Amino acid sequence: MILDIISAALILLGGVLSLAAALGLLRFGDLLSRMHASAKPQVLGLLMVAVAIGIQYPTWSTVTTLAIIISFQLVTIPVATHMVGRAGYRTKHLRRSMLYRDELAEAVDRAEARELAWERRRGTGTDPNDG
Amino acid sequence: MSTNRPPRMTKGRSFVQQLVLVFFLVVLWVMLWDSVSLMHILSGIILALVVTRVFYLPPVVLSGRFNIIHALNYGLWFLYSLIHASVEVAWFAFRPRAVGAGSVIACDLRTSSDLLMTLVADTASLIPGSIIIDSDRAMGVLYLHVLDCDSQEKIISAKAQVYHIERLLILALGSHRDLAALKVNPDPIADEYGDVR
Repeated sequence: MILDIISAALILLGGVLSLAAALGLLRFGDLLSRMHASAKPQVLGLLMVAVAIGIQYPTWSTVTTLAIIISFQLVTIPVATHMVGRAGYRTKHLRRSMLYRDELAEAVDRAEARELAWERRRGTGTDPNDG
Repeated sequence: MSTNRPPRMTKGRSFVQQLVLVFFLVVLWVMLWDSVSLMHILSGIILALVVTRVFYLPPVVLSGRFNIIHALNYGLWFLYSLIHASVEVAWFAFRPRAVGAGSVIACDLRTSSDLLMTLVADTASLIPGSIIIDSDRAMGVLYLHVLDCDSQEKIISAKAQVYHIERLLILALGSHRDLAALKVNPDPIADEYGDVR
């Protein structure tokens, strides 16, 4: 009875977290923020649903399968978000107004300036007409 | 003759690492079949050997160090942050006010190991509020996007979280070199922002 209540509560909470993920996907302002919503609350949501199932059917076969599901989820989600986030950033699908500070752009600027200076120095060294 | 260079990967050591990989693949296979039997174990071993040959990956360089207490500490902290931050992001989604601007922050990690860098990135990605955008493997820098991060204090606390993840992981399974790096530079935040204050 108590176990039933616990697993019911876990499933409900997991469902609410998945709903939050869907809502966040709709409401957040830009691609990068939306990636947070799609990946995050739902990890804990799935974990809760899996634990609830484990409480209801505490056999080895169920628990191992659930463990596999959770570990695959934990391994694949960072990769998926990273790929989308990186592709979005590099193709400039982002809203500058949604960024307070961008240290990656600062690093890119620094690297470009360094490369330019290096090319200029090399250019004057070998051929003054170059660049 | 260079005697103070780090020991190269010997054949015996890489064989042991291969064995660890095959072992975990067999465990995964048996878990998928839901029952332990000789047939499943044997087919698992054959399959694992084929998979490691066909889908060849560069070997993961393990540090050879593992501290179970610190690993447990890391696991508990991870679970706590997962719950805490999930509730926070869920609240951002439900609350009437729209979510504010985020930031892309750079974290210059102290470790030089690929495995640890990957684990830090994975952990930071799984904890709500931060996702990995890019990484500079040669310099050991991670670039993360942080949700709702529109002030200097929030940037500093987000960076502190990443450095804390790195600290926990180095204590759990970092090499002695990483531990030394941790000791040399225990507080990167102070290094970076100390002169501003």
